[in-house]
Amino acid sequence: MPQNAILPALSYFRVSTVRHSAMGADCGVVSARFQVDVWADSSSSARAVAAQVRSALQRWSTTSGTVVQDIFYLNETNLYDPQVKIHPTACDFEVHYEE
Amino acid sequence: MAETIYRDQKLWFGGYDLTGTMNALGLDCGAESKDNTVFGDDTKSNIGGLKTVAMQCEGLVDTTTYDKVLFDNIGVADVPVSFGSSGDEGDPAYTFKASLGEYSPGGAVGELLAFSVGGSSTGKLVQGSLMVNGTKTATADGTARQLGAVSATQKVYAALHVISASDADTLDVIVASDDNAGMTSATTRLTFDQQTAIGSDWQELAGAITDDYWRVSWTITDADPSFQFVVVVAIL
Repeated sequence: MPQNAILPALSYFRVSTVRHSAMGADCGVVSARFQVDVWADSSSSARAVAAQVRSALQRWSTTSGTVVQDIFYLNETNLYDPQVKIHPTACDFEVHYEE
Repeated sequence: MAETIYRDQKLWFGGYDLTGTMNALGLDCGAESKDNTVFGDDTKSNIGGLKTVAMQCEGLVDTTTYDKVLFDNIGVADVPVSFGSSGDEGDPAYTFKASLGEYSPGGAVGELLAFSVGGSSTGKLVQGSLMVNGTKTATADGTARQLGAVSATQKVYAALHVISASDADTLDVIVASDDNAGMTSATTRLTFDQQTAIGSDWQELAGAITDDYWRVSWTITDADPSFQFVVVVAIL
């Protein structure tokens, strides 16, 4: 997150990527775990934004462009940083897509 | 010792190459042990009984092609099944006629849909040589290989897997033997049924055959043909 960002805000990063193998070749399906972090100055705001994130991504799929077969919402962790008085919420997703 | 990373095992089932959809494979072969202990023996004694052959394969469900193939073949007898280590011609290969007894696709939500399939033999398991593995567009002879002679108590076995076939074309495959690598006086020993589509065939012939060199030849006819096929030849 940049310094002094306007809250609430989101950041995300890829945690891990698994490519499934068959004999002789990979099957082309990738399972990637992403973490979306919600940054808010109150717990209620963090939960509300996290709910929007979940609503937008959970079970989303597309066959347009990169084929995303499905997205599963794995985990949600509510935290608090007392030094900067921010309520981060970490949302973990597993994205199954084709490459 | 030549260790091998298990990564490119070939499995041909009937007219299909399952290599790109499976990720675990097992071949179980053995023989029953029958107790023949008698009075006077001080140790249990056994004699080899009937041989057993079974295969077990796991993989990722391919709903486009292989799911229907495996489902449709449950309980179908005498489907040729062949295993090859790398797919290179000349490599050792196992082949037998099988019947699928079990096909189990399934998995938990959020996981890749997987399957396991199991089958058992409807004939002997034989180890031989991968004689042909490729796409052919014209009539030709394969490479002659010294597989050995066939004794009076043995047979020569051959499995043909046609993986792809062009429309309205024909493929005729034979197995011939000779006493020299040049195959100058080759004798046709096995003739597969004519193939015009994805499919498979199995042929066998009893010995004795004194020739020790073996070669696969194919005749392809009609316009712009293309056949991808695999032939395994074995003597047991």
